Amino acid sequence: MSGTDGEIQVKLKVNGRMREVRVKPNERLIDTLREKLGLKSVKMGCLTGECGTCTVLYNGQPVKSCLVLTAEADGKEVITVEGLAGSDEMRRITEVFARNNAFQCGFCTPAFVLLAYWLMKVKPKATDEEILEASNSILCRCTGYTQILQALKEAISRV
Amino acid sequence: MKVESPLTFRTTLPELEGYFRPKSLDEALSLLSELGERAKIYAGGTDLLIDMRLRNIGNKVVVDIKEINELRGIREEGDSIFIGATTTIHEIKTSSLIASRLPLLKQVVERFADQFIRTRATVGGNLCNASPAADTPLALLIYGSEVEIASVAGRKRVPIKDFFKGVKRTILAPGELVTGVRVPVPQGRQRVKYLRFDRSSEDLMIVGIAGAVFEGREPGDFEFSLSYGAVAPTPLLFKGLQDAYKRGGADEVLKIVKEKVSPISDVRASKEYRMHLVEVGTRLIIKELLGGV
Ligand SMILES: Cc1cc2nc3c(=O)[nH]c(=O)nc-3n(C[C@H](O)[C@H](O)[C@H](O)COP(=O)(O)OP(=O)(O)OC[C@H]3O[C@@H](n4cnc5c(N)ncnc54)[C@H](O)[C@@H]3O)c2cc1C
Ligand code: FES
Ligand code: FES
Repeated sequence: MSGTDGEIQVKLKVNGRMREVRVKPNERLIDTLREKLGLKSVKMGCLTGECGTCTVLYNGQPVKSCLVLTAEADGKEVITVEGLAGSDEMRRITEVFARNNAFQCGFCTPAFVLLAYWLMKVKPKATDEEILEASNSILCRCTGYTQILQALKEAISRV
Repeated sequence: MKVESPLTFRTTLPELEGYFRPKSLDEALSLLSELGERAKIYAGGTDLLIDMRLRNIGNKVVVDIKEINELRGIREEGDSIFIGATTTIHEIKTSSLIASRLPLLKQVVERFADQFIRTRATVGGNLCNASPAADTPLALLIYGSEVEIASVAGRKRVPIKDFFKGVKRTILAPGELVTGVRVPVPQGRQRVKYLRFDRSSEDLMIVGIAGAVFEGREPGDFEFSLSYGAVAPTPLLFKGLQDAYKRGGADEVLKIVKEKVSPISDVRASKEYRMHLVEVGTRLIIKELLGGV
């Protein structure tokens, strides 16, 4: 069994690098990423699991980091938008998001960019329905989604 | 879920004294027995972390059960299917065994939250959280499932209809853990339908109604059941409605149902609207499953 009465030592891979953090039992993944590791692309929206702006890839799956305790992340892998910088995928995502005007204020954009990346890596053959279903997890208060959905479709159309 | 005023919105979780991640069920049970009321079980966290942040619960130690292998997975065992407590809603939704044997459960999890939440949310958490608006109990009730419970004192099975005690209350005592749910597979043909009224696809239901017709051995012999979510402090089950239906169609069924439902008004809908949905939804399900109205 692992665990303790006090602080917990957690080793996790973040954006390809092994990181070690000491966390209190009540620290959430969103707190660790933003405050300890400085990854501010992970947005703090509702903290209630509704808005999805805190989305990260956690062991390869998109999850809402406001509902994960960092203590459980020992040995796990986390990817945020910062980790995509300079990659071919990110170049393509930037292009399709810009071309489609798939953002206004940009608050939801890191989450949708991670979703685009996940679709390219894991579900390059996703149907329009599957893209829509995955997109349901993230709220955008500005665009009305049409442009974002189009960008997501184009992101995987030539992978 | 409480509605928060922006002025009192809390952003942090309360202080905790410990976090434990047992690797076996025995370890977990002795830990839970030792910690008693101080402990709270942590599965997907999609209810727990919100309740902690809102200060709805004051437990000081979390026991993470996600690394206990025996609590995970979907298996066929004789005439029933066992679903381990930490099996995620996503795993249930994508299981071919569930799709072919328990189509009502499949329909129910298809309407559950959103994809990112389903990746984390577990069926054990959905049952133990005991929300009147939980989705999975509606299918599990109709199939006549049993909840499997373990503690240092031993193991027991409880019919799911006896598991819920009220809003956010179950029969579980401190030290007890749900290991999974056993669902009997109907032996004959089944026709099923889930109707979920909601504000948006990822929101909790306003009202949920599940219906099933299980055909018997003799032609014309069938059992008809309905279950309702978010219209009473616990999910409601009505079994053996076929006689009422044969006697007086949907009107007769609704008479029985309306005696038990007691919806409230909340952020999602008024009680009058919920009653309206019970009426309309019940008629729609009866029409689809049995043809008559
Ligand atoms: C945005 C959002 C949308 C949602 N939409 C829906 C929806 O559409 N339908 C729906 O039904 N629910 C919904 N929920 C609620 C929640 O996701 C579900 O109830 C989920 O199944 C809870 O499971 P969990 O593993 O996350 O539980 P946790 O949060 O880990 O635990 C919930 C409770 O159960 C206890 N517990 C967990 N596992 C066990 C066990 N094995 N034995 C004993 N006690 C245990 C915990 O101590 C806690 O009290 C939603 C939540 C969010 C945040
Ligand atoms: S901040 Fe996590 S879902 Fe809104
Ligand atoms: S661009 Fe503003 S929330 Fe999506």
